[in-house]
Amino acid sequence: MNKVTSGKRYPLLIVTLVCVIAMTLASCSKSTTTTQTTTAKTTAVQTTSSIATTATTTAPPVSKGEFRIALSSFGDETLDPHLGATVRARYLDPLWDPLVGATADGKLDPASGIAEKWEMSADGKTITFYIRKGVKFHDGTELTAADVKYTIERLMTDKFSGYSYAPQVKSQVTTVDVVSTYVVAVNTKAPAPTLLYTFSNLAGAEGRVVPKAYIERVGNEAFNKNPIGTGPYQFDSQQIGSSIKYKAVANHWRVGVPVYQYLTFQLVPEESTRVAMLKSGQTDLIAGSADSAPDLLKAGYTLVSKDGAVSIGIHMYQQYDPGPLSDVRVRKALALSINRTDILQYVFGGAGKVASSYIVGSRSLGNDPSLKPYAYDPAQAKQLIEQSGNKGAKLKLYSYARNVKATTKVNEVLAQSWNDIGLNIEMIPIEYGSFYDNLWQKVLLQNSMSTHDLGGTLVQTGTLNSLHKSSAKQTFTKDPVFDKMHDEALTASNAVALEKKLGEISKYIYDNYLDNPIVEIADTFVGVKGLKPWSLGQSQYGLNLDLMYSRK
Amino acid sequence: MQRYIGRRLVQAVIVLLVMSAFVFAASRLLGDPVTMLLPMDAPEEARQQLRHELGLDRPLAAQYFDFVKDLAKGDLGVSVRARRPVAELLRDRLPNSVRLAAFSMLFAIPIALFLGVLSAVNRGKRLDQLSQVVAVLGQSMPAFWVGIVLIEIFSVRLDLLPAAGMGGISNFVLPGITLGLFAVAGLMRLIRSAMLESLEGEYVKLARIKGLSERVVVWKHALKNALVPAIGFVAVFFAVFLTAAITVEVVFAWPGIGRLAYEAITYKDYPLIQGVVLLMIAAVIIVNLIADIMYAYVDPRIRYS
Repeated sequence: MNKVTSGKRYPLLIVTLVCVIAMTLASCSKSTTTTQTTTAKTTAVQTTSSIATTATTTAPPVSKGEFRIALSSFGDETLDPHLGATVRARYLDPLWDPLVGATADGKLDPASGIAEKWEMSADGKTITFYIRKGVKFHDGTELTAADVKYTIERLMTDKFSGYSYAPQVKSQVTTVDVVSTYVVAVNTKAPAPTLLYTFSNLAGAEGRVVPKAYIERVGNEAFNKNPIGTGPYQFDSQQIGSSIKYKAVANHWRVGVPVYQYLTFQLVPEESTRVAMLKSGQTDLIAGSADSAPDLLKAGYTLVSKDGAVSIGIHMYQQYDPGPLSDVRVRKALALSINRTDILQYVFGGAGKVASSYIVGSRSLGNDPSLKPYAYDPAQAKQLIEQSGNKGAKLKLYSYARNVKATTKVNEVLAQSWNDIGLNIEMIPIEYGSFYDNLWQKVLLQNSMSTHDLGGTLVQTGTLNSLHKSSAKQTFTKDPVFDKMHDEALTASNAVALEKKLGEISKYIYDNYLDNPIVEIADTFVGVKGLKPWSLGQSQYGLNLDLMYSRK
Repeated sequence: MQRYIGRRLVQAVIVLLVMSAFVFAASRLLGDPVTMLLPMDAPEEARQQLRHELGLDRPLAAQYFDFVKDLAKGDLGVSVRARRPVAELLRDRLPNSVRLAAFSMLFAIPIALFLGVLSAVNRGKRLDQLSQVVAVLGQSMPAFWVGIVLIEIFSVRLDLLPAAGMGGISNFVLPGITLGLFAVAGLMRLIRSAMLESLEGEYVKLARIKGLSERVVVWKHALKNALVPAIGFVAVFFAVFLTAAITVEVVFAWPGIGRLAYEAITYKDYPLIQGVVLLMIAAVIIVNLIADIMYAYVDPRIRYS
């Protein structure tokens, strides 16, 4: 009845409510996070203390604690190594050993693969692999030549032959023979030295040997949900869209007793959230970027990066069609008018280097370090445009962000640079998926370009094929000289000849301005303070985690 | 009431069927999912083979017929990306969204109720003005920004709450507040308006004349009538939280339906797009039906035939 009186009660109620809420929030503990923080810090110390303990006492090492890695994407999020894109190597590598081992700097290495030795026949058409004895799958069964044969034949079936590098396996391999329990021979149509790289961790997932008996018993679907391999970690659990967790095996032939008992991959799409998780102790390693890394490093966090992991370059479509792009003077002008140093500095924060080659980048076989980045000479570029009679020529620049968001900023710089030399650039923002469809249907592509990011893979015969081979559906170029060189690369008799041929192709592209490289940027990860950094290796997507959790 | 519910269910089935056709056609407009699943240098034979395996090389009418036939059996197909049944993916992710939506409403409703009533009772005074400001701020601040700021304050600086992911009750607090804040603002304003109208009613005057305390007049008699429009609002917002919490789910790495929809669209995962959209439509229909039933309970004047 007396609203004034009633009104006086409310401030007290408000204060009470605010206090209750504040107390509730304050009492909500980050129990999980606290535990994990402790675990992470303990683990970081654990590494040193474990080694010290081993050195001074005879107590056997045990795996302890958990190492968490926050990634921006899980790709297809399938666990079957042959059922999805190569990017899954980030989280699949700990589960499997590759058929062919490789060192951190990209050399094939018999000591670290399932095959302890391999031999190529005199005609180059048979590779014989000698399987290491005693390698066990996570269900305790031994890996034998039969599993290798099963794996390769599985890759060649319709269900699995479309992904990653499987098409190359299918196109090159004819038959696989089990010579004895631990010897398997892979027969090819022609010499195929690239197969050794394909079956390593340097390329895709094709070298991961899967268990024949297990898959035949449970089926492909069950294997995808509960995979087993031979790696230092075995599958523990998966929460789709959230995390994948592995548990260490007791003792692994290559890494010994893994340092961490659990390895967890967390799916966290938003970068600022990943940074917050790192700072608050909810994770131990995050996929970072040139934006977030500098401040984190200043604060004492650990940088773990892979230089040259991504090449940024310009695709020039259908150069074989009459038009400005078919004129080498125009392509040269486009290359000479780009200030790559400024782009590296102001768009990518200096994290990377100016590139001299786009497809056969600094991490790829055949890369020629003597090739210098194209000069920055806008005056000459302007002259070339006028000489070619293309002043005012209209070119389209499709602007999308695939994996590297900053490419849209690069496009703004490029459009201005090219307009300044007398061209008429129409920049068209587009979503990548939609653009990709147009690529295959060859719609809207005449006289057009786009800035693209390409993973730094070791052997780039596949990408060279799809971007420049006359027979490829997506090709930018129809050049019989290139076609011949590419065929010769595919049938090179050994790795040395392959590398030489790829070098020649790279030089040919460079001299004819068939690609337009801009920069190479690093794949950046940031870890907790005190973490010992390691080399992320030479593979396109793998994190070389062996060096992180290995005791050997 | 049973006849009313039965009629509404029949209508729901018709809506779902019509929308299934629309979703089926619209998802095909996104383009070819095979281009997203296979690498750039995959040969054409591999693309054709994958299209065949996914059934995408059959005529559209045949694909739609099979889709509807399977839908009737509860089979939503297999995700072209994850290679798992769509129903399984939805089953895994839907409870996460429901829990987050429920937590958000549990946060939003009491606060909105309290502030709305307080604001109405103290109309024109400082408290009312402050509440109005809070309402405007709550509705205008983008959820993306709110989430990041809350993470920075409560997780990084104060180390009180986890920054992301699902886990215990503490994992619900920040995304729940982020999602619920918008609802607090809108619901508070709605309750305020309804309360102002309610407090002017004859029955309220009668209650005061009868000597009932102001607390009973406001919180029992006036509020009950003010709740009727609020029920509809809450129902709509619950459905919105379930289906449109994409930004919150991305910021907080919450494995819910919103993020699943985003991933499905990015990868042009037709079966998953269809499954998610149909689920969202079904959720909205069910939630609205529940709201209508609650209307009848709260307001005896409402009767359905």
